[in-house]
Amino acid sequence: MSLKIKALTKSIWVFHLAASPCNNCDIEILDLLTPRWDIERFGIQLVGSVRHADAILVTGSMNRKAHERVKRVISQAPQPCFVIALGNCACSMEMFGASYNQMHCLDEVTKVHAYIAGCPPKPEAMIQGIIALIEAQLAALKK
Amino acid sequence: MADEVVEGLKSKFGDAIIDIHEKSPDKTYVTVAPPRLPDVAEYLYKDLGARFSIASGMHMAHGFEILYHFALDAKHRFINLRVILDSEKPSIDSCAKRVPATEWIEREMWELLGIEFRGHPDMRHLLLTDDWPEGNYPLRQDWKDWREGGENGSEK
Amino acid sequence: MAAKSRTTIIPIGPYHPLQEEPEFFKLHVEGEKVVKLEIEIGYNHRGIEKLAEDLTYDQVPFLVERICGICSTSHPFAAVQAIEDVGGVDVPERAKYIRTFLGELERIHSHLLWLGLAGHFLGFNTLWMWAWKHREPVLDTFELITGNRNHYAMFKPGGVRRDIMDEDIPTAMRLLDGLVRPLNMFIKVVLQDPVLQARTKNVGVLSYDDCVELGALGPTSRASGVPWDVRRDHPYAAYDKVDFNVITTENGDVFDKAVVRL
Ligand code: SF4
Repeated sequence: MSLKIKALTKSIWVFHLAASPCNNCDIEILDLLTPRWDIERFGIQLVGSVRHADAILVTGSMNRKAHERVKRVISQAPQPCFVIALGNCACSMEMFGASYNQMHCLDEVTKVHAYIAGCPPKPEAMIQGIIALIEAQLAALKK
Repeated sequence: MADEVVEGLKSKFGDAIIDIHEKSPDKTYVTVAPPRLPDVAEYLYKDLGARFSIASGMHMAHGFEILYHFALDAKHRFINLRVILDSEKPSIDSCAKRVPATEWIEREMWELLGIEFRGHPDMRHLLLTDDWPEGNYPLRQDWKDWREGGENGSEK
Repeated sequence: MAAKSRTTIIPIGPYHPLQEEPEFFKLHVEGEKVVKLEIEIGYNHRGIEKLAEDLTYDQVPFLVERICGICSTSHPFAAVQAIEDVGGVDVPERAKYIRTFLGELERIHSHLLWLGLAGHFLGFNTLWMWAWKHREPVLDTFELITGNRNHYAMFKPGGVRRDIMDEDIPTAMRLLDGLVRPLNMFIKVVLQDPVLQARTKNVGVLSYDDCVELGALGPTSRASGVPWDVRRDHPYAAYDKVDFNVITTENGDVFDKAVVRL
C-alpha cells in the first residue's frame, strides 16, 4: 500500500465530480488548467474517467438525486484514491444544508482526505490544498 | 397603447377576465378565471405574438396562485396572467399543448406545489428524484421536511 | 417502420467527461443523426426557493448568487430588483451604473468561457486555452473592484455593497483596454477558421419558428434571428442610458451562436 501511496503523490490525475455545485468551483478547476495557472506543470491532469483517477475532486453539496450517483462513481475508483472536497459546498454544504433536497454531507458518505474551503476557493488555494495533501501523505509514510 | 392589449383581452374574453391591475406602466396583472386560462394564453401567444417567459406558482393563504408571465417585446410590456386555485385540490387545464414553452414549468409546478395540470402531455418528475415520496410537495406551506418528521427520508 | 428498429440509444451523463455539470441526455440516433432527445435534469436542484423563504431580504442575494456560478450577477441582479420593486426603493444613479458595468463585465467573461468550452468540446483545445487566458483579466477586474473573482456579493437591495474606488479605475481601464486586441483576434480567428466552420456550420440548427415556440432567449434566440434582448426591450438599471447594438444572425446553427457571442 505504501508504495502505491508514494506513487500516487507524483503526477496526480484528477477526476472532477460535480455533485450539484453552482458550477463556479468547477469553472475554477478548469481555470487551473489554463495558461495562467497551468497545473499540468506539476503533472496534475484532469481525466475523463474515474477509473483513471488518482484523486477525485468533489464539488457541490450533493442533492438527493446526485447522492446515489456520487456514491457509485466513488466506488468505481481504483484504490487507493484520494477524495478531495472542494469548496464550502462539498466541505459543509454551505447554506444549502437545510434544504429539503439535501441529505448528507460528502464526508458522511465517504472518507475525505482533504478539504479545500472557499466559495469558490481561489486557484492558488486549490494548488496549496493539493500540495498539503501530498505532503501529509508523504509525512505519514515516513513515520 | 397600454390599453389596446387590455381592451382586446376584455372584449374577447369578457367574463373570464376577473380583474385588471396596472402595477406600473409596463406591467399589467390580469386575473383570469381558471377554466379559460389556456384560451387567454393562446390568444396572447398566437395572436399578439407575445413571448412566454416563465410561470411562477405560490402557495398563499387564499390558495394557489399561478402567474404566467408574457412579454410583448414590440410594445415593451409585460402581461401577467394570474389564476387563483383553491387550496384543497388545485387543478387546472394545462397550457402545454397550446403554448409549448410552458411544458417544463408546469411539470415543475406539479412536482413542487402539487398543482394538477389536466391534459399535460408528459407529466413526470423534472427536478426531484423518481422515487420522491408521492404526495409530498415541498413548496407548500404546510409541508414538512425529513428533519421535521416528513417522508422525504434519509437513509445512508 | 424499418427505420425505427435502427435507432440506437446513446446515454450521455449524468457524469460525463464532456459535461461541466451533471445532467442526463438520452440521445436516440439513427446513423449520424439525432432523432430524439430526452433530457433529465435536477442533479443541481437544491431547493433554493424554499431556503429563501427563511432568509431576510438582505440575505437573499447571497443565496441566489449561488444558483449559478457563471452568472453570479444575473440572479442577484434580478432578485434585488424584485425586492426594490416590492418595496418601492429608489436606487442611486451611480449604483445603477455600477450594476450595469458588472453585468457587462460578466457578459464578457461568460462569453469567453463559452467560447473556450465550445473549442474544448470540438477538440480545439488551443482556442480553449487562449479564450480562458484572456478571460483572466476580466476576473482580475472583478477581483479589483469587488474583492472576489466570482460570487462578487455586490448586490444589495437599494444599491451595491461597495463603490468602485477612484484609484482602482486606471488599473481596471488598463486591464480592459488590454482585452480589445485579443478579442479582435478571436473574432478573426474564430470566424475564419476552416475547422471550426466545418464542425459548426449547419449543425444544431434552431429555426426561427422553433425558437419562438420554445421561448428560447438571449444569444440562443438572437442566433436564430429573433431580436429579443431584455436589455433593450425592458431596460433595467442603466441600460436605457447606454448605447449598444443587438446582434442577430439568421441561421441558428452552432456557428451563429458563436458569432452572436463575439
Ligand atoms: S462552494 Fe460556492 S462556488 Fe463552490 S459550488 Fe458551492 S456555492 Fe458554488
